Amino acid sequence: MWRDAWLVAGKDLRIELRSRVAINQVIPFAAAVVLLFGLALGPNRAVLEPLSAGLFWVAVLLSCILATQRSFAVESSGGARDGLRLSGLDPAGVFLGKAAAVFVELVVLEAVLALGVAVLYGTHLAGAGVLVAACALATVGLAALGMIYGAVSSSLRVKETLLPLLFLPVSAPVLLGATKAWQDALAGRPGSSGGWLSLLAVFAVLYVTIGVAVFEPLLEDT
Amino acid sequence: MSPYVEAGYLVVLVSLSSYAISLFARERAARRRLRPGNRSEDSGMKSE
Amino acid sequence: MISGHMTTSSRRMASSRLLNVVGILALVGVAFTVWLGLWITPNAEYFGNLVRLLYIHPPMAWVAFIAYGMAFLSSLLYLWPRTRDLRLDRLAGASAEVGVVFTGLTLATGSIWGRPTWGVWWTWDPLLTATALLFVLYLGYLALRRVPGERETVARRSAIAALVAFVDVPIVYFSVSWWRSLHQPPTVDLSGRHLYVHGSMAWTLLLGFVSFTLAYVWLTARRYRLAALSDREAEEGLSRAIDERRAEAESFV
Repeated sequence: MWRDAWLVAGKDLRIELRSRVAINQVIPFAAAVVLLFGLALGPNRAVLEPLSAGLFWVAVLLSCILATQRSFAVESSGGARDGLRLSGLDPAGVFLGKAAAVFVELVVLEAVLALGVAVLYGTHLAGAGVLVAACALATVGLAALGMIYGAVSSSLRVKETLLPLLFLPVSAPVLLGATKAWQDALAGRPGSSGGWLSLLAVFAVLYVTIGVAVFEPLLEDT
Repeated sequence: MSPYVEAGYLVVLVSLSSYAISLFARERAARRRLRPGNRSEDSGMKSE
Repeated sequence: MISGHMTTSSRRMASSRLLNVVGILALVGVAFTVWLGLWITPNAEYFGNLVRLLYIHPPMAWVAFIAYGMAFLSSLLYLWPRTRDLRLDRLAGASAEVGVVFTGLTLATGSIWGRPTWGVWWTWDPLLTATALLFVLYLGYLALRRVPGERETVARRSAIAALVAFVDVPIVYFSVSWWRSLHQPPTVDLSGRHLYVHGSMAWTLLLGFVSFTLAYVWLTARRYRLAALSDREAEEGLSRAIDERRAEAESFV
């Protein structure tokens, strides 16, 4: 399983490195979202700065949808999906590998985005340890959830509209937990974010487990 | 009585009964379509 | 197992009769709840007339919850290879749809409660907020169910989506209530959880719970029958289409 996961993650990341869709499209999209928040809320830094954690995570959530769709678009072209299914790879490994690739892409995106938020909204990135931990835990959960729903909806004709509707409500706890953890850290009290971090950890463990359990029937029939 | 109370009861009763009625109507329509005698278009085609 | 035609049809008859009894009981129960709730029970000291909304709002939320629980259980059983049966899938779909109706009513009655109590249609009360999230979550599930496809495929992906959705329910409730309790103390307790309920009020509330639960059972059963009918229709439509094509081919030969 782990070897298969490693193979699939390497494959997906190599594709991303060559096609540069994540770098040329998803990251600029997230940047545009952050800029638009600034326009909508006005240029006042006193308004933007306290909101920066929430705006950051909304941008991450939206970008996660794009990254997920991209991850399955790669499989659906040229019968790659059948190839994946017939390759004899462990479905759980495929799930973990694809989720890991999306995780890496999202972490890169978050690093760029955090920089953008710091510059545009004047946020002082304090409590770096908590910020990074929240990013890591939240992104594991988001990537796992994205992979499950991506696989559920990827073969449907309405996938572009259905995936966000399925994904966003379920990911609400991640938005909440990660935003709160970030707010605590940015406000200089990283100690009080422990509860939110454990919430994110619970979410991540749950959805990774579900993904490992249900990915076999999902790959089979969709 | 506060109009809000009446509005609350009204919303619940009206929604539930219209949902129930819609279920009834759809079930009846489905049964009518499934009835074996109701294949006039097929038999018409075959008799030609 | 193949049971004879007679026994199946007579069993269907019996279940039909049982369902009618449930429906009549639900109707009578709801009528009594409304009568007791609107005219018989007294006003409460603090909530005044608005306490009457208490007899319908919590039962709505309760029914929504058991409906989602039922959808989850039958989806889980569907995914289990030994108990895989399309009837379970129909039950999950029917129950979730009824659950969405009741969730919508929970939101509506909660909002109607909030307007005279706090002067706004919407407070970010933890329960109300979490319920709103569940509402959109299960709207997504129903939307996924409506996407056409091969019957077994639809059932399997719906079951997985129901699993993913229901696991989220406690996390959503927990995180939202924590989110609200950390920042400011809950403004006013929705649905009077600290209200002292006594006498005829307690009976009315209990009757509300029982009769709306019966209404849930009845609506779900009706929805289930509708799903069974449309499955049969799709099957017959397919076989009829095959017959027609075959007849066409034969007429050419």
